[in-house]
Amino acid sequence: MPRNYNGLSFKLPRIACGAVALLLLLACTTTAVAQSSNDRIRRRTGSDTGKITDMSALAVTISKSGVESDVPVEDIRSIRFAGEPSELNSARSAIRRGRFDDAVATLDKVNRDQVDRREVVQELDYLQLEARAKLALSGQGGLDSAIRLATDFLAKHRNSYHVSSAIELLGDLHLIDGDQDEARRQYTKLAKAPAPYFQARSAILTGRLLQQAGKHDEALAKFDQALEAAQGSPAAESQRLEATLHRAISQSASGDVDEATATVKQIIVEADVEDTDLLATAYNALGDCYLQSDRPKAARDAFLHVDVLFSSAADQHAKALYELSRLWEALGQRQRARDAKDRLQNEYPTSQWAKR
Amino acid sequence: MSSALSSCTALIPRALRAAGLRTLVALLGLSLASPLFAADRAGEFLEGLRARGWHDVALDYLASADEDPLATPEFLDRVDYERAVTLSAIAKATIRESERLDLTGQAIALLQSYAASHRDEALYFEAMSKAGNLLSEQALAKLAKARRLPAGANGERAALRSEARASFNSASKVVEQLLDACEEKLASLPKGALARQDADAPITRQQLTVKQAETRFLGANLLFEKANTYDAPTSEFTKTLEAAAEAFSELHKDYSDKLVGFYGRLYEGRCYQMAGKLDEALECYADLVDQPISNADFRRLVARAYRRRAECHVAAENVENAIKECRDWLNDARGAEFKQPQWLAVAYRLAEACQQKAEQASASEASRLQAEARQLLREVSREPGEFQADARTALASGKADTRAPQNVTGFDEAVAAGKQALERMSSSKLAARLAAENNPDAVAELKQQAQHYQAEAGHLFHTALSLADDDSKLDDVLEVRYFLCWIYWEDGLLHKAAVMGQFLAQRYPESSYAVGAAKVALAAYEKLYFEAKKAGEDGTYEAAQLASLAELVATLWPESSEARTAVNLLIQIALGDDRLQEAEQLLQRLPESNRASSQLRLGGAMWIRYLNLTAGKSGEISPTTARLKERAEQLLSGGYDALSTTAAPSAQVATGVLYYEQLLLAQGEFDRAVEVLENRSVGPLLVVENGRVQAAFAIEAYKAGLRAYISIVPPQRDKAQDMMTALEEAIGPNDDSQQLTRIYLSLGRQLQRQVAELTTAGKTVQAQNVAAFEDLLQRIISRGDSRDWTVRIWIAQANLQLGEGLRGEAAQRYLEQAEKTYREILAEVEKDSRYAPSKRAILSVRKNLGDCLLARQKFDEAFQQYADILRENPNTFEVQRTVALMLQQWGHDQQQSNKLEEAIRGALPQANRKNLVWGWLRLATIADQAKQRAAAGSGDNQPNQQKIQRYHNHFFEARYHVAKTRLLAAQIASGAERTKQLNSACKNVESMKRLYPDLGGPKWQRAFDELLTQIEAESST
Repeated sequence: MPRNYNGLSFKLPRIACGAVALLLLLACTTTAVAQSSNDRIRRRTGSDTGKITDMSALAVTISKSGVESDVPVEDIRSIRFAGEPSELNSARSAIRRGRFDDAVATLDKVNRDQVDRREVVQELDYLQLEARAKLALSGQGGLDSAIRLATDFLAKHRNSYHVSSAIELLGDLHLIDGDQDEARRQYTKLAKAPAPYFQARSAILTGRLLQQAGKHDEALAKFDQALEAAQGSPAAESQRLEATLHRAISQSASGDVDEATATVKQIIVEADVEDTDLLATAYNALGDCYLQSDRPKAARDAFLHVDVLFSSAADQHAKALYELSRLWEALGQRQRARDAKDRLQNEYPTSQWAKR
Repeated sequence: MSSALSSCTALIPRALRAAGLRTLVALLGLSLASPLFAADRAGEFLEGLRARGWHDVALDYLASADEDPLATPEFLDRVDYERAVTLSAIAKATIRESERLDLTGQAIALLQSYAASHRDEALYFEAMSKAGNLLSEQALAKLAKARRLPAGANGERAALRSEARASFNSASKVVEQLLDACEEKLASLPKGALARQDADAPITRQQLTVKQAETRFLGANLLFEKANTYDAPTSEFTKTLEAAAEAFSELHKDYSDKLVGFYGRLYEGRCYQMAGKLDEALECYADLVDQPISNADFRRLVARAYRRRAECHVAAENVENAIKECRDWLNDARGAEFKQPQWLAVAYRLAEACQQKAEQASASEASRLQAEARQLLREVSREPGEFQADARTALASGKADTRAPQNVTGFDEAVAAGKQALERMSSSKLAARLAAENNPDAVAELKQQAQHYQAEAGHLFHTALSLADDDSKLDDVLEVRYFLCWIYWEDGLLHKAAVMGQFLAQRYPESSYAVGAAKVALAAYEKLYFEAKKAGEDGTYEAAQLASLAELVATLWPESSEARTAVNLLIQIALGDDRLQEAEQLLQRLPESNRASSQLRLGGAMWIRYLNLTAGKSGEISPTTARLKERAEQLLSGGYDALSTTAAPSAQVATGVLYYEQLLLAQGEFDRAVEVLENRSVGPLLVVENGRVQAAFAIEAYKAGLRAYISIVPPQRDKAQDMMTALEEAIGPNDDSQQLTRIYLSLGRQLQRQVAELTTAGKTVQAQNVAAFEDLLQRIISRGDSRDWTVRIWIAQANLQLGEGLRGEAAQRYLEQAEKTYREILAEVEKDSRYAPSKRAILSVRKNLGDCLLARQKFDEAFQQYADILRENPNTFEVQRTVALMLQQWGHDQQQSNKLEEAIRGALPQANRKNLVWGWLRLATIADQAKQRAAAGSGDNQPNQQKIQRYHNHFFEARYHVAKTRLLAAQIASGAERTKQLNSACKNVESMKRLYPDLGGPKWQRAFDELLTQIEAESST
């Protein structure tokens, strides 16, 4: 269409006021800092607000109106520290949504010179470790640097409440790196903590390692050990579900597919709908069960659940894409197979699944 | 848009649909309802599938949704509804009408069935809306089909209209039920104080009110569309339209300040317009165009009103009003509004009005109006929409103003007239292109018009140059020269175009026309050069001009695309003349960022040169040739890396990438070869997939693909199979030259070597290798030419080799196949001895058959086979050796001491009392004699030395086996016989040590030592 019709020029579009307002809003939010003068612990059930007075690898002490109480590490989902840079919470949220790249970018903006509280430095270091480690674990980032970061964190912050998580991450990184012995050593360390949660956690992680190595009988023994440890401990309830799930996976691999399928389905029914990692793992396990039962379409639907609903669980998503690329091919959908493969290669280029 | 609203869109006329129901609701003053199924992950999953367009998977999923642990009882209860939604989505994407109608019918039935059993649930409204919607779609499809029928098909047309009417009636019933349900539900909602206590009540009321307004509009519209099922102006037609107009009018009154009310008014006008009541219609539209128009949705409504007003004005032969109103409205268009369908509709109506007015206008006014109409039609024809096809047709059928060229009296006038002629030429060319699709009959005439205008432009520009004087602006003169240069090119006057372009570029390089003119000149010289070459001339002059011009362009505008074109042309010429070194020097003249394509071309040329230089030669290649290959690789690799993400690569780039692929395969870089092959931008497979390549390219790409997939470790068997299928399709059934078989055979041999290497290296033969090998075998067997001697022999050998490399049942399968094939070959030879290329070849087959039988442990049959060969050729050392080994194995495996004895001393005594089968002792003697003879001969040459070494080995091997067989005999004997055999074995070794202290070298020394240890161990037990 001509710019000029019958001699009249079109008017240039005006900048909408809304856009200006949006810019102003952005300007405000990027300089915002958490204003609360209290620390806030988000527990698995409820939260505590007060002043954190002590911290160790096993518990955090919080003082509320002069009364101190200990919160065990396994009961803590996250802590927001008074005066922490606002980027920390954005990063936590990005990590929760599986946006590890965004988390790294956000954390890189934090001016470390302005952070002097020891706990906040620990928090910053841990979030950086977590984001980079998860990138590496999902095949999107460097493994060696992530291992270095984890090792440094553990050396520097021995009293951080994140120690157990960092140990687990370090184990995971070694596992992906092919060093099973070192991974196992790290996972075993967790069992030194007396809480049933960590006893169960350690057994589950070791069991998963054995599972990956195809040693399903030994893995089953570990998962049983985890279930025993988690018995009767509300804090270890999530571990009970996870142990049950992995037990079912090993059970399925050992040939007991029907029972495993039923167990995985039950776990999905029981799982918290927001527990993306568990649901993604469960649907992948369900897909594996269906594959074993030679039900390719049912397997496809299970893996598609991960792709459509739980893609923020990066490692599980990579597996789902890998399985889907094969299933689509088997089902005669070559374009979809190619798309799944391309997405796997593009989104998780260094993942173990992309290399298969 | 919420699911509650999106389902209704199809029933709403296109105009209102475009307005967007979100706006409709907003203008009704209502808020959108929250999603019905907030925490429904199964529903989310289903939506996710639909969003990807995977309706087939969605249907599969729904069929087994009860197995999904995330599926809630609520989700499972609405599975039929969801299935209907999915079916209707599939129907929309279905091209075949009968299939589409069938799917729609299924969806309607499911929705109605769901609604009948869920009357008290929220989804009832959605199901009913969708059902009504689909019924209306069915009716409209039938009406459209009736319109497409030829004039004489009155009976069929009437039947289709009747069917459409029935569907409209069914839809209307659904609408009535829906309105009753809304009414009923609204009445049941709590009122007054009770309503204030129920937090959900206001939301429900809002949702229902929205649904009511939508449904009323839909009901009125059904009547409006239904009118088309009658002939105009029958009483049924008029009555139906009146009913529709009344319904729309009521809607307008009840929602007078809402968008839906204004749409009611617009459609009321349309009812009057359709009934021929133009004044009433104009009055309705006037109410709309008089409204303040700042809201975007409202402006679209007003645009529709203007379009309809123009139609009424034209119908009332009031063209002036139509033109004025449309022009005013279009001149007032904001931003990109002009490209919106509503504005394009106004533009199309304006074009029609201009054309109509031009018919009665003076010549100059008519020309101006026609030009305006053409311009409008061109714009409309560029955008997809309601009038695109009509605009194209109108352009294609437009009449040319082919009056005699104007008399021009001055430079400026001539230039203006020339430009106008060029503009007309462009219009005619565009129209011709469009007409090729929708009005092929008009193409020839339009091309003629374009020709006419081009000639006229040329004439006018020449006139302009003759009229140019000192007062004429230089830039205008240069512009005229540039246009002339271009017209010469278009007219095929290449020399003139080249000279004019070169003159402009050299003489006025600072002019804005210089680069363009240089480009035309370059193209003209290039064409002249190739024409000269084609005519058998050397093209030196043209090449020199091209080089000089290219030099000029590259120097003056080094960063321009023309400079790249120039250098590329020179490279192409150098390559054509096989001047690779010069081409490489020219390459350096291209900016680094723009070299990739030429790099590929040059690398490809070098690779071809390398292949030519090395074809049919073995042994080491010269350093110069090696450098050529190295450089080819660098260029191809660099070019590929730079262009590997280029979308839609040119043919030259695609060819370069294919050469690179071939080079990688030749170098054994199979991983990289697969990566290049599968590149999603420039990979040869993608290029083939996208079409537009010659068959030869496709064949080479598939060959390369097959080789890559078979050679990569582990082989990618499925892909290799795909390649074979594609290759067979590309080559076609008439493969007289057995091209395919040769390809398969060559790859098969390559894979055979791979398997052999694995076996030799003591590695387990990978299942993938075997499977890939077997795929090839099967392909070759299934070829018609698998009876060919060479092919058959290879098949048998390949099977034998596979069988020998495997164990157990897997091995037996291959060995059986090998045996079968060898026997078939021999049977064929029996029938016709000419089948075999030579007697020696037959002997070889018989020997292989024996090997086959031996591998299958059919000792008797194998022995007979070997013995038959020896009867005809008793001195065949290799067969004698094989039989000795066989007897040894036979005796050991079946614990037969006589066979072991035969292995040592031979078997089958002949008339001359000598054994036909020699056994190890005689083999040793013969080997020793042969060695002595070779040593006594003229012996320092290499073949003779090799012969001596061979028999040397055979001698020690035979002596070793004498002792070894004694040990084996001892192992199956007892008592004195056992002692005798052990002593004998021991003596054999010791005598060898005594006679030959070095035992024939380290290899045999070690073997004898180990054997002695075994004998001693056996003796001590």
